[in-house]
Amino acid sequence: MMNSAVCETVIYGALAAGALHLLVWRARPSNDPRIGLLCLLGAIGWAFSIGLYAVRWGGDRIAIAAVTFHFVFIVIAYLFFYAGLARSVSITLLGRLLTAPDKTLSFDVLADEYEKSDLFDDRIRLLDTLDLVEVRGETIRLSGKGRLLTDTARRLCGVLGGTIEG
Amino acid sequence: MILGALIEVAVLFLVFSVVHRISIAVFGALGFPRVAHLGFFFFAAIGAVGVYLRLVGNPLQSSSVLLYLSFCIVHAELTSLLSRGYSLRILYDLRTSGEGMTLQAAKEAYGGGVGVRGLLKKRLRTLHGLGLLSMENDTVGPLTALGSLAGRFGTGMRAALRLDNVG
Repeated sequence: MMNSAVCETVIYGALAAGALHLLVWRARPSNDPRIGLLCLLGAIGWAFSIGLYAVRWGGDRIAIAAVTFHFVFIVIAYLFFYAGLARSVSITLLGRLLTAPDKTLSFDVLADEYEKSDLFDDRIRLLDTLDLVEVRGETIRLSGKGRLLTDTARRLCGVLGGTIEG
Repeated sequence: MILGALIEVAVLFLVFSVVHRISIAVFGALGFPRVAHLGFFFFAAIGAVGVYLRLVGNPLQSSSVLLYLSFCIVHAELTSLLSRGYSLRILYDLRTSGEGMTLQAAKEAYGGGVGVRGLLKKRLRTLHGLGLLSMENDTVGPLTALGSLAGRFGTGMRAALRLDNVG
């Protein structure tokens, strides 16, 4: 009984958060991925689920924990998907091939288009907005915050057994 | 019950992380790094089964499996961001250069000197490896049925969310 009730309320909460996400993103488009705002919408959806469960079935700690565990999973899975959606070069490449006249392109054409686009510049602008780099005139420099993040990432990469390849 | 479930999830996730890290070191040393990537899914699935079996009788049994899988997703996202993050690599190149760069120099120095072209080649090779597109010599495409579906879904979602400045 509890599992179906939990699933039902979690689905309603996720739909509420998803609807808010769509509304806000469509009403106010932004270059910033707005991960913090997305987490806030997820928290609103979670609170909605908890409230709904309490109203319909009465609140108990186990049920609240179950709703929370389910919601954490949905929010984290969506964040994983959204991070790719918002910034993935691979999706951009797939999209470009979809619009190519005979569905093929030479690598040089693809690379030239990418180099001439402002996608790289946009990354620099984003890093500047986040205070990770300092752009002065023509020169880009790493800020103190950017240096700290890079060094932390390098150490973490060593712990997890990878390299920063890009 | 809640604390018990949390402890089981935390312990099994820790075990999963350690085993996965060891597999990266072992398979990397043997020259099979891709096996370690596949090992991620294998060990994560074993861990999920472990959480399920150890929480028999606990009302949070299935919810705890989802919580455990959430941790695995965070682990995968963190690993992916560190190894394939575009922005992070730009920062890393700036860090290793030790001084400032112009925009053009940053583009050329990207990825330790492979440049933006190197980044694209790498992404295309991955997409080819995943069976999303064909690649022959200098010609990229056409997309496979799966690639076409992924491309339409991705670009459709970007349009729905008005994500104009993307990767």
